[in-house]
Amino acid sequence: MGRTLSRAINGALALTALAAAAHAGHAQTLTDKLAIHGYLTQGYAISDSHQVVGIPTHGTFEYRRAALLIRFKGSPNDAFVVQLANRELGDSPIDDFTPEVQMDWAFYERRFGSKTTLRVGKEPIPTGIYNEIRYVGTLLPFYRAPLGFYQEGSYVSETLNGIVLARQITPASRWMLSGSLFLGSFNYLQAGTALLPGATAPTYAVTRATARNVLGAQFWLQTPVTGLRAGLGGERRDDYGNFFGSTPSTHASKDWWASLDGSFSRLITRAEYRQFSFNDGSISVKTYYGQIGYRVLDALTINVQRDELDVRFVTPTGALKIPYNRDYAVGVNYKFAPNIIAKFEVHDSDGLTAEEPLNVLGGKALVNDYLIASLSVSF
Amino acid sequence: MRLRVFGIALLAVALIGAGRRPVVKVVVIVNSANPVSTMRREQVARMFLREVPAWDNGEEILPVDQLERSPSRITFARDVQGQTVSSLKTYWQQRIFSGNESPPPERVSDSDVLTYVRSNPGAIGYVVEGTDLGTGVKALVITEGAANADAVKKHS
Repeated sequence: MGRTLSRAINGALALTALAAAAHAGHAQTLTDKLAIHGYLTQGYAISDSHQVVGIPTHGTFEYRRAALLIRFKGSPNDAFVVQLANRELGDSPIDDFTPEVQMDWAFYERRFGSKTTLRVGKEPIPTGIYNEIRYVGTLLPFYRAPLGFYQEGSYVSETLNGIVLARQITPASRWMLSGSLFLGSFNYLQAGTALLPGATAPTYAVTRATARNVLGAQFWLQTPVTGLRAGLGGERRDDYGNFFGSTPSTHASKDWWASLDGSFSRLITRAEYRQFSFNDGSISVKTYYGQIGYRVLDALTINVQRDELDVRFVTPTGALKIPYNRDYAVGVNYKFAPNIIAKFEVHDSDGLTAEEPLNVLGGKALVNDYLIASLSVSF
Repeated sequence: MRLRVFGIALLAVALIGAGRRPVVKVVVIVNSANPVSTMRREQVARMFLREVPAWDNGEEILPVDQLERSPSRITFARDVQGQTVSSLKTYWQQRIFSGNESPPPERVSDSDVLTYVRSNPGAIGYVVEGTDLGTGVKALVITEGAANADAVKKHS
């Protein structure tokens, strides 16, 4: 209880400080060489029957993501970027595996002309529409990026220890192609129901895993329609230490995704599809989501989202397809300013994502509703 | 019922905030040591998005903005950048929080912008039309066409 109260107070203090900074938003670029930015989203979340993504039935204020980003520009073509992050995921067991504050990014960036950029260090992976901004509440239609496509709580799975090379491939025109290549490794947390080594019954477990030899690419095509772009990406990697199957194991895997992003004056439509599979064919995951947001008033936007994820296992006795998660959401955002946004969202979440009570693969899907109210600021 | 009342309150606030329109015109200015005298509107827009790092002479381009509520900023965003200040703020949030460049620094008045441009050979800014530029600063001619495409380093 003491820890809960302490975290809530910390969150309130941080929110107040950041709100003040956001209000004075013109002060973020301190000099031509040094810029400091930050964002924070403080949420309250409650679930009606089961605990999902850390949201308990008794509600929680320990729902927060915040970061402080420092960018130092040594010259027009050189920069050093550091980001410190704090994230709270309610009652999720994942929280026990994450520190209060973590070095989220630390990379050197070198610009070659105006079309090519190289990053070296620990940097965000250019994956899909949201990965690089996945925790920035003032840029997301809902509290989090779609769960099936982007997952939640892995903490570092969205960043890469390695290099990212980005280039504008074709000249700026009505059709413009750009792309990024990335190479490296990352650590992540895997959470879910599993029969761990030596156990006689499944448990909801969290383990540390590593993805090595990650090689991937992301391409974006800007279309002549202002605000409309299409993306395609993929990666291959070797996973070590995850518990797919019944024992910690090593798997080579491949992953590809496609994106459609339409951001117009009042309408935002986004959809992404992703398919992940082990090279041995034992497990494959398919997920997709669609979002529509309509700005009813200058400051008021209504969003709806359909987010689905299926898992397919191949066993000696045959294939088993599991509808792992179905999340349908509706939300209202009120933008006090571009950098201060309040959100209220309700989710109908059915499937096997419940952390409590234990939900076994192949078991009956649990039906659950949850809501999140949040305030996001950035500067 | 409570949600409905909340929604009505939000609607009222949004309507009160609507209807503000800038009534000023702006001129784009650079340091008088800068050899450029004419630029295309699109080139200026790209400089303020930090898509172009340097002038032809190698000098770093240093765009300087005005506060987001200032009439000149609203006019510049609309007439030169072809966007609203709000959409530009969102654009910069996406850039910043994916680890990219920060937006141009902001100055609170025309006088402060003039001081900045006067002090930095690579600076480019804008002030309300008719403002006394004084020494060390000059106004650019902005065109819509392809005139003077060599004003900045080729970047396309």
